[in-house]
Amino acid sequence: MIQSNIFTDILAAMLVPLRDVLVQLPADWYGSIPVLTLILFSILSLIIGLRYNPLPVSIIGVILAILEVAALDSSTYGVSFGGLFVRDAFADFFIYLVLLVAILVMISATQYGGDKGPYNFLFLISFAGAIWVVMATDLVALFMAWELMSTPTYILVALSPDRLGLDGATKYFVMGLISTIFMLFGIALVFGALGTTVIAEVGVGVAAIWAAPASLESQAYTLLLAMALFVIAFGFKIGIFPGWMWVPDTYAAADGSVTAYLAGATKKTGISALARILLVGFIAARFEWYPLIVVIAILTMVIGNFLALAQKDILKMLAFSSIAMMGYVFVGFAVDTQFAISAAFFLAFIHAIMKTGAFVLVFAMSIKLQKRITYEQLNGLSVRHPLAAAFLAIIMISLMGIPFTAGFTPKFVLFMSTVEVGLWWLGLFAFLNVTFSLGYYFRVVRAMYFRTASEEGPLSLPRIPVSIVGICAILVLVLFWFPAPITNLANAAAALLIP
Amino acid sequence: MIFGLPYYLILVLPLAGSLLVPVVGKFSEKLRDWTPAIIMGITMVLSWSLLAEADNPTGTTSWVWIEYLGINFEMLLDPLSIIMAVLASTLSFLIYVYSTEYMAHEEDRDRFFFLMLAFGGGMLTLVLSNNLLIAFIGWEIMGFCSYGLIGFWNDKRNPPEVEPDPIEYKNPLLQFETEGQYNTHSGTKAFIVTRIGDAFMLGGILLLFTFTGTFSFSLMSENFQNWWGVMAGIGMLVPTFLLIFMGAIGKSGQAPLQVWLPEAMAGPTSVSALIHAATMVKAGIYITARFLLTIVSAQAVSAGDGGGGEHGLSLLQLSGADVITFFFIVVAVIGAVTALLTATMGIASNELKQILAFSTLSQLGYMMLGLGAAGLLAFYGIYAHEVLNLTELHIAYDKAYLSSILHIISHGAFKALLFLASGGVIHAIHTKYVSKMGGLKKHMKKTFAVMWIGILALAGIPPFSGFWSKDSIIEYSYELMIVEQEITSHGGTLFISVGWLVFLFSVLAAACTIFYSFRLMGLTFYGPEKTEHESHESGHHDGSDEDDHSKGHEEEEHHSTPHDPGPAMMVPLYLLAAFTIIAFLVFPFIQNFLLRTEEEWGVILQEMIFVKFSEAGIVPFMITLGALALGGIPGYIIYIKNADRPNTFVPETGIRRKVYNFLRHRWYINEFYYWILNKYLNSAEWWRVRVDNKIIDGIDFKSADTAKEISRRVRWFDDHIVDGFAEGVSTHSVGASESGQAVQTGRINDYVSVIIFGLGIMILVILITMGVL
Repeated sequence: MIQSNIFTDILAAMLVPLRDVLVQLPADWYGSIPVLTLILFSILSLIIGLRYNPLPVSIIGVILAILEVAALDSSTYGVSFGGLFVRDAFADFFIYLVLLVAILVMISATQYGGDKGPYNFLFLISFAGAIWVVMATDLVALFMAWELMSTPTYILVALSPDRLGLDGATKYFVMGLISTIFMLFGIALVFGALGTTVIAEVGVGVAAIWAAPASLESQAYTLLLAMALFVIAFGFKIGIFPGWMWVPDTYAAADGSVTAYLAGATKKTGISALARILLVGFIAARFEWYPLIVVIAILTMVIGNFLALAQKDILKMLAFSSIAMMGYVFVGFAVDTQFAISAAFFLAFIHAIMKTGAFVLVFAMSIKLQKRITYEQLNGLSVRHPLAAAFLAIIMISLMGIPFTAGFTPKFVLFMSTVEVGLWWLGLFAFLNVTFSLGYYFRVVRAMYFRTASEEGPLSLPRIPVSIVGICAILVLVLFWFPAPITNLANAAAALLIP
Repeated sequence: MIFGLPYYLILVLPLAGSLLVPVVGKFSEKLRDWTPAIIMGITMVLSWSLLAEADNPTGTTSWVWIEYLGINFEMLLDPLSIIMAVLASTLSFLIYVYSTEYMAHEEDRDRFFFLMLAFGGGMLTLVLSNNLLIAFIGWEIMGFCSYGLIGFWNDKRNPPEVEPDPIEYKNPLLQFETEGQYNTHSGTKAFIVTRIGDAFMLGGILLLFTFTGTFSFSLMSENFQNWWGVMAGIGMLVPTFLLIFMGAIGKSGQAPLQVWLPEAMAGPTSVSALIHAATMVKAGIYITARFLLTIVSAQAVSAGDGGGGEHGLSLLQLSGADVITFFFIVVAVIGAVTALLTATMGIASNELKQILAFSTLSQLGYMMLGLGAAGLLAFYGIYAHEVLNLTELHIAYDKAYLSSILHIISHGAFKALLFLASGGVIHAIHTKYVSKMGGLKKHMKKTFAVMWIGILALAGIPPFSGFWSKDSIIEYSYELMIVEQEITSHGGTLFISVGWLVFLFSVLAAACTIFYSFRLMGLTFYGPEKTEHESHESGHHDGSDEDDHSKGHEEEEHHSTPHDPGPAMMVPLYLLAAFTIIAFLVFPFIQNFLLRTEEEWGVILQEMIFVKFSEAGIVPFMITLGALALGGIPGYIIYIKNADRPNTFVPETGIRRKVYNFLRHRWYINEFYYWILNKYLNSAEWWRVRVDNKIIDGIDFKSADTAKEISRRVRWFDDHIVDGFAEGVSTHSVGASESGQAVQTGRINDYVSVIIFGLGIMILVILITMGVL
């Protein structure tokens, strides 16, 4: 088949000069060079944005960051700032995910009509924070990176073209504030119980306490409370029970690119942070947190699917469906084998691609039509804009998890893995949820292909959102047949957490 | 492969090409119509080139699909796969060429040609995949395409053509107001009935995977020792294979799931030809043959010869060799029952294509029977040799398997021929009922000739292709009977002896086959003309010949005298007819290829002919000839010789009429299913209305509504309790800003409280799991 090695070799050879330049920088920066680049370019965009359109600069910044990630091998140049932020296989997987979404979002951001300088500045800063979140190995560093990522997004949501954005932003902000408080409280509890905030050392400490439970009971309870707080704090960003409620309001209110970024990237950084905390820090307490995760997964799936079905607004439907999707990801955490985790990561990756495309397209439609997009607005889209309809249909089919689209593979592996460890009932439940979800995904396809449009004539959409959803649709199709690049990364990431 | 091209092109080309069809349609209608034919032509050439490589495939292409489950995509290039691929691609190619003319005046050909090409691609995926899961995907592609194609004319608003002497159905599910409704119903029926089989099959596949740990056929045979004994030990062996066989029953229309195929005639004729000859129904036979090979070849490895044989045998003997015979008994009996059952149904059918559909079912029954007999002979052979030490008893299972595959090939050719020819007939005189036809001999001379060739092959008259394959299947069912007698007479015990049953059924089915074949010919082509074709001034000189009904003549065409179709439709017919006549000259090559032997062509040919007159072969041969006479002579006398006289064979009352009605109603099996379905729907409705209207909002089709309702209620909770206050304000919005502020205060409090509440729940969960509470 395709000898992908050749391509990667050529690419690597092309990146050697860049690496030679980069290694001139202080050795302590190596792992964080992409982040620092993004921060530099964010300031540049802000300055250039005073007079000109800063978009080219921002896009160059993101591309440069991608090249730097590819050029600097994480095993050699991974550590930075004294080990606070470390690029390993696990971090790399999420960095690629974030940067893939970032480049798509930046391209789609050309559609934004407001003041572009701050807009791009905030985006790039948030990208930088997101990459640091997945690299952080210390709870305090994680907290800082988390704030660096989150704070700009509050403002970005508020920068939405219509006034609803303020409403969404405020809800998002208050909820974010609470989760921040919980996170800080959790960190404090961990520090109080163990005297350290380095996640790996937390793992050692928890193992020691769990080895001698009787004498250290109060510390064990403290740590479990901290763990529950972490699950809520990071779970809020992921949009799982109990912090899911801001998701539909905010997603439906924000600018399409911002929503795509929230759904595609920041959600996944939450997963990565939780994965690190649960699977590295609290792995010794596995039997304590796994029922919790099962309950959360079940509630999240049910809430997401039930509420999605009743939605008429497509953006809100998509928001609820990503809540449900995170439930499936948490099934992977509950199973907690290497297969399951890597499948969960793979699902997260595919989900990022699918949701980015869907949100960008639907938002572009809603701007074009000047109204909320409901199923009625999608009627007859296959006639009015065949290309967009075809792309959206592919993405919907992938969301359903039907073969020939990448959405099928991770779900299939996830359900197989539940059977493997004897959690078959959870797998069955998740499968029933997937079946249930056909109800609302299929309505989109039906509206586009089997209903006649209320308005006649072709619908002209801007090229950029359509091409972005096209890229996503093609990726979804290609990744079904050739999932190896992503699954290899996901496997490596999972192998690092669960040796 | 040829030019060193990668193997996977064979399936990627049609599948990917099918997506191109609508795109091409944007530029050129004509090119679009020819796209499937061109792409399948290329695929056909590639498939033929595989014939040279069955001995040592130069590397089965594979790519890793899901690495950590070990699911790879591999091509399986053994003789069976290659033969099936060649057959499927060649017949599909001919049918696509035929379709370019047949469908020339239809609407919506984008959809048609897309589905047709994807259909062929699905079949090639199935037969060439070494991976059960991917094969199943191909299987499902076919299921979907068949649904789309059978119901292709879903938009016909005219009422369905009234059958002369129609059956009155009381069942509300069988009332159709328009032809489109009927067609859609037929497509859905095909989809659902085959889906019943598929559901079982998927279960079987997953069970098999659980024990074998692989989806790959070749790995399954290699690791035979690892799973066979385990599965037999806990009694899962036969259930698993029977589950998989259920899929084959559904797809290949074996009893009791034979009901979908007769209705599948609602689609365009080229679709019927594709389903019957090249793809779909052959899929079930293929998968059964594939498992026969997997089981038997693995058994051959482990039984082996020499010292290792003892061990392998005892392993098999202890665990499952005698159990697996039960599986093959089921296969053989279902095949035999289907062959006879559907042949009798064919006698009374009144629709031209439906008669052919019944004949397909019956021939498929023969193929299943051949495979079952092969499996049984193989295991009886081991039993006789190793346990009873009957070394002089020579049992060759592979010839039985061979005859079944040969029947796939010969049936593929003559059934494609018959369908395409009858498509021409229906195209020409615009009715699908044989009782409205008649006297077409004069008008459609060429169609008449090729149709006769196909009919003789179907009836099994030497030397046409059908004779060689069908007669040898009958012969091996006879041999099965003899072997069973031998074994019991030497003190062996058998699970149950079915040889006499399958032999009897296959002979009777042969008698029925020739009878309805002659009936078909007689009613269609002989006798007086029954339809009043107003052949008036249409400038169409009595189409004694082809070709002048091209695009410009659409309107006139409908009023002209019946005539032979044009070259794009006739050339495939000639090719198929030629193959049907000379097939026996080709069969020796196929035998050599399939069994990997290197015998002389002449030797095999001689053997093929003289085996009929040998000591072992003369008895079944004579019995078969007797059966042909039994069915053929009355058939000839009633329907061909006396075609010009009014038919009084079935009087208005009496036992004949009763039998006739029983057969017309297809043994009431079909109606029985509908009756159950209707009863179920009624009781579900009753339950919904009376018992549980409030809580469960109906069980039948209403379950989706229920979910929505529940969802709506939950949403109501979300709306009114959770964001109630604010939502209320915002809907009666005073001004965006004020309402925005109100929204924030109102809702966020609730959001936060839900988070706190959630924290409480989580802590409770932790405490419960820790056993504190």
